Amino acid sequence: MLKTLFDQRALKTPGLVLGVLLSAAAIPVERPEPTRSSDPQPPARDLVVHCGTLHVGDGRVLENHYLVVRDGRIERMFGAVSADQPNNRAVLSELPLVDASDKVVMPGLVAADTDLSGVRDDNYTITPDLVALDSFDFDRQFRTALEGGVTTVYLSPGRNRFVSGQGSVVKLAGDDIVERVLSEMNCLRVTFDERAHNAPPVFEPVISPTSDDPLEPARRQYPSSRISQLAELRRSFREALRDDGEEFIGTGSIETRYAAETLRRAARGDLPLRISAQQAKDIRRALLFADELGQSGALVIEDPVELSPVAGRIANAGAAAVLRMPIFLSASNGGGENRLDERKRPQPEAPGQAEAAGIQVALAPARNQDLQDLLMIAGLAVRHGMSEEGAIASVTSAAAELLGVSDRVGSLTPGHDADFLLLSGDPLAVGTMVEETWIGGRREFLRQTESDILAVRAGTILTGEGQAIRDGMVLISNGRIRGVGASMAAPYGARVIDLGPDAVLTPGFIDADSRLGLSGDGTAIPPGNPGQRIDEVVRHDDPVFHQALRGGVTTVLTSGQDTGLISGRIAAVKTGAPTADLAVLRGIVGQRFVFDSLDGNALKPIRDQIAAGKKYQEAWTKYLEELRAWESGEAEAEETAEEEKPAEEEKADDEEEEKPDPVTGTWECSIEDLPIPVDVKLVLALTLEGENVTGTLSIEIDAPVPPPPPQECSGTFKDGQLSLTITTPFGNGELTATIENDTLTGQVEGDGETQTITGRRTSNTTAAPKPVKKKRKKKEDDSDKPKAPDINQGLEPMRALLDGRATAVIRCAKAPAIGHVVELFRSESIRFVLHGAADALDTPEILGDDAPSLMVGPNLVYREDGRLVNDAARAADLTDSIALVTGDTAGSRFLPLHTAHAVRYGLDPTAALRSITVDPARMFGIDDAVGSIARGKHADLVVFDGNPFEPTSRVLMVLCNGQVALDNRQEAN
Amino acid sequence: MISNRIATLLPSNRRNRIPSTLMNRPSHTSLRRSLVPAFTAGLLTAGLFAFGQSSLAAQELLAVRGGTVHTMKDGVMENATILIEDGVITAIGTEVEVPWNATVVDAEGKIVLPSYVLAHSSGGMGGQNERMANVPFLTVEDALDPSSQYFEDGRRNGIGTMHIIPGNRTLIGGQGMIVRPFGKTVEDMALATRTGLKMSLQASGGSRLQQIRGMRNALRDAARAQDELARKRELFEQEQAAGAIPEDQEFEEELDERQAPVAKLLNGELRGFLYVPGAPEVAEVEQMKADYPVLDLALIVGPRCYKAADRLAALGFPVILDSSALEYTETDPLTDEDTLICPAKVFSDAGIDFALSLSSGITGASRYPWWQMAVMVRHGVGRDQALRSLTTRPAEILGLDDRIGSLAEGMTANVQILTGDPLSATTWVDTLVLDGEVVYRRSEDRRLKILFGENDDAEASNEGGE
Repeated sequence: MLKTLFDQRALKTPGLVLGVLLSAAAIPVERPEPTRSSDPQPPARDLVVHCGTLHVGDGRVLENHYLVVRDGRIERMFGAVSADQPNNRAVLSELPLVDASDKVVMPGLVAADTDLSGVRDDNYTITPDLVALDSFDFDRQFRTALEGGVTTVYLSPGRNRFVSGQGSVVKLAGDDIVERVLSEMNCLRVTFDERAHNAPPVFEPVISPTSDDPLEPARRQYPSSRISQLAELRRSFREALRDDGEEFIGTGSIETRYAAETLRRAARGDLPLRISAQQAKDIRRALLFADELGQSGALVIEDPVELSPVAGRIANAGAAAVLRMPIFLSASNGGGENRLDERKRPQPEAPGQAEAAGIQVALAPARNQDLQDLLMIAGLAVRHGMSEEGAIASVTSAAAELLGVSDRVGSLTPGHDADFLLLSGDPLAVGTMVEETWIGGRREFLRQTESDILAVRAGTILTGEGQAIRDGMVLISNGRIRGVGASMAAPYGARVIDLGPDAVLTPGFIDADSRLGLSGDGTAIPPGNPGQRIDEVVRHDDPVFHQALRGGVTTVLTSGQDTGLISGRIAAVKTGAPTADLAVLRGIVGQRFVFDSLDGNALKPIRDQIAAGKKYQEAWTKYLEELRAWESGEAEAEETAEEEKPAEEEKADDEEEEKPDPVTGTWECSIEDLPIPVDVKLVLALTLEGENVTGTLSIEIDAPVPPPPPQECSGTFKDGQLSLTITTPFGNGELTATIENDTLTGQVEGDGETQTITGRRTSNTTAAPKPVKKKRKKKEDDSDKPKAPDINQGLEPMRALLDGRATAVIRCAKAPAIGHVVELFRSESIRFVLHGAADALDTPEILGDDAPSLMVGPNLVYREDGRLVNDAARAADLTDSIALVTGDTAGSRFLPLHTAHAVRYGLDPTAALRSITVDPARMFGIDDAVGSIARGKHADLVVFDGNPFEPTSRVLMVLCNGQVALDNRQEAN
Repeated sequence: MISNRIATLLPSNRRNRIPSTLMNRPSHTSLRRSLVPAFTAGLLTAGLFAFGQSSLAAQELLAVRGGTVHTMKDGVMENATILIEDGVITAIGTEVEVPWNATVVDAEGKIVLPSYVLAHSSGGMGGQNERMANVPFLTVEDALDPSSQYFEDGRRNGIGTMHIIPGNRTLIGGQGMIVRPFGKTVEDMALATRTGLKMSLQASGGSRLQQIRGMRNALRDAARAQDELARKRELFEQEQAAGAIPEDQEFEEELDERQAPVAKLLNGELRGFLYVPGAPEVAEVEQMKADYPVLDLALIVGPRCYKAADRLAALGFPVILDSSALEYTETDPLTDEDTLICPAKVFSDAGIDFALSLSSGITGASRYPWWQMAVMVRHGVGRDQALRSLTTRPAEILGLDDRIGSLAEGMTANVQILTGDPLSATTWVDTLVLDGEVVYRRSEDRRLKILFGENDDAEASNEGGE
């Protein structure tokens, strides 16, 4: 019925504007290109689309089909099975192919109601001659709508006037304006409720008022109440029909002068009626009026909010409904429960109810902004009772039919316009997005995927905190975990790694005692030393790390070999860091001690160290306070402060410090009797400690050659005599010199030659071997800026301990020693961990109720006196927090196996997992970054193809800092 | 000269009837004296004004000597002299001999241009628009304020001819007039009245659709009223022929004064100056052209029209750029990215030979000719087109290109002498000559003296001269 009406109309009255547009379209129009991809457009609008899934729009869903487009229209389609037929093969070889074989193709969406014409309500309330198309801007770019896949829209002529005018149907993109106009005078729109009462009075003054033609007050416009609406409408239509055939003269009120023709066409049924009626009573009157005109079958009811009471009547009358649904259904709720108000608010169930009643339904967004979510609006309708086919039709074929444009858009059957969408998945799925929008065989929108989100799915996720998530998913972006939970919809654009239902995902393991990274393959483990800068030694691409990674160990707390009472500092190192700057998690996380003396006085060196550390810490605290005060005082110091804040230590390296010792400082020496005619300067940066002198020697050459790198040197200073050994890759040299009042004279021997040098001390502090940088810094320094204390690497770990940034690890076994240690560190409030503590495992009483954290390993299970001893299980019984360790180099990779062994002999597997993940992370204060799967943590994950402690389980994948560091899925299969 | 005086004192519609022998005009008449009859004969049936004497006595002989003359017609002449007699250029060239009795204006080292012509301007009225939208019967003659600073500024900027017409916030806003920015009364200034009907498609208050509908209805109303009148006249004549009405009785009914100007517009007897704010409204202009093929329009185009430049070019109507259409920043509604567009360049590329209009505000760079031309040139429009858009092109649009807009023998002596490059900010108008009279000298510009003081003024002059 609708269709015949439209066909008649098209024959009778080709729109005036359309005629103009036709003439305008003959002129080649050049316009700025809409956003398109970099690959060139096919010149002609001929192409073949290979569709993975094709929603034709007439209810058919086809798999693996080809869609042939010629001159912007669908020519035909054929299945991949018949691609070998000669005519199909010819088409495939001849036309450019759009590969959407992994995508879903569907017709471009038709939004059956929008305000894109930019119309505002007129002052006059009866304006049938307004045509929405007249104010439509063809040059505007409708990116939001195209992004949502909307290709065709109905333009409303305004919403709050009684007879608002005529709606139009246009496409949202394309160069050919004529082609873009699907229907110029689509319908006559009438408003049937209180909204139509708000028209202002109109003042129409006469130019020269006389008594015959007086100035009259502003004229009130009708209808001004619901009761007069129908009467006014009947009057207008009746008058329009009465004028039929007579020459119309320009008199009377403005709104009746040119309205007659349009009203006449509507009254005769040449122009469909579209009545906006929200409440049931208004909908009834709309049906009544259409029935009086004898065209209720062509009636479109716009926005029937209170649909359910009259759904049957609408269906019986054969009228169609356009439902305007918001994406935020609660947005219109002013708060509180108002049952009367409910009738005016869009109800999510309405589309389903309308469909059930048998009404032809089109869905439209409530606001222009919601156009990008039209597919989701259809999905929400399904959630509230509509069928999936009905929902898709309501934004494609049914909407097109309702607007009378189904001969061109709404489905992808042959002869229709090639308006189609390439979707990333099922049309109604939440994560599905329109990737490309094509109109008339041209691509008008291409989504640029910007998401860097990685979604890892696994059958089980063990968070490390004792929680297990079945069928879970971890979202990762920017190297960190963004979220963890049950596997639900992945956001659009996320890269999904699905590891299957058997996979078990755990946090990356932590070996809390390791030598990894310090000595290559472990043949020469260096002795531990508090002053060691482990962060400078470790190389992120060291192959040994990869071995640990293979075992699932992503973080190792590495330190030198235990040497004595005061042993090495501990650094936290990532084994799978994708870049060098991510390799060291923390430079200092702890300090190792070894104490097993029965005599408590033997702790004195440790006490001394703590005392020295306190002094050192005080100096720093004071300095930092002063610095803070100075910085806040210096208004303009922002820049300097910013530059120097992040790395206090480095800055301190460059700072100067008065220190009354005869050697420490920078010495500049000139070399006499040099056989080459260049000015060569030796720069010695020396530090005196007791009698030992360490430092670097660098050479500054006044010539355009790169200076050699600084060389290490060490030696002694005794009685004013300095003797240094310089170690270089090409051989060693000897420097002997006399130092007197900041001057130095002496000789350098090396390579069989001897040179005399003289020099003087230029500063009292060791300079970094980069004079340029230092000079710049010096200049920037203000004289009153507080001076940083000298960095004492030997005391840095102690300062970290005292600051609470690090943890003391004490290797001990004997009960008295344990007692002394616990007493000392408790009294000093230093966080500590006992490593070994064999007696405590044997006799738990000695630790009392408040047992400290324990570190166990490398031997976890062993046979003693004929019985099997499981230290790990015993430690787990003793305290809440244990760490299982290897104390090994390359052996770190076996940590999970050792743990599995302990589980075999009685260790609680949950505690076992904690003991190599979250517990050690907590012990060393690095749980903000590693140790568990939670939002904000580093994305260090290990995936097994089964229970992680089953000996048969394999590591499938390891992620480190959000990157796949290891992928064994192929091998595992 | 007495007859001249009589001529100017007579109402213009009567003056047409004075035989030219009685007028005893010299062969080269000044624009002022010749223009009025030209317009009244061609376009005006009811000119309201008698045109008074100018306040300064005309110089009989004037020579502008030694300048670099941009004729805008025959290229540039170095060190040329323009001889002006009775308001008209009688000789121009490097070999021109200056008679002993001529007053000499020294233009040595300076640039000589025809004074600028504004084809569209809404200044000097103390308000650009009537509040009511559809007022075709108004004319700016009733609003013009000769003492407005706008005209003083115009002289300072070298403007010699202005088409004053109501502003853009209207539907059909009334009729314009052509003036020179010099004179103590409106009659002094007037060159022609009722020179065009201002129309606008800019939505003021309502929506674009309402404005379009209002315009359509206004045009249709007038067309229908005209048809109705014609029908009545026909009836009258039929009755007269049948003897029902006496032979000597004339058909007296006239069009409503509200409709009359619009009816003239529809008959092509009056030009419409239509403001088109943006590309969507260009479609409506196309519609108007299709509905009323004889419509004679000049389009004042706003910056957003640049998207429809090709369609504007195809329409073939003369184009005047709104003063905001030189540079335009468009913000992408989605990305918030700003793009600077020079609509003038886009129009130029589309082959549109447009005229410029200056902003009539009292602040802002777009009221200066040099700024507008310089911006265009910076965006790649040729210097020639830039200069043309304020001289020959607007003169063409106003139908006066045989008298003003360029410098040649027989042209009205509207000449400006500039201290330097016309596109430079440091250039000043030194002297402005209108109809052979010196109407502005920078050395006598009191306002500039107050602004700069004597010394600074001299300094500025030196800078400008370089």
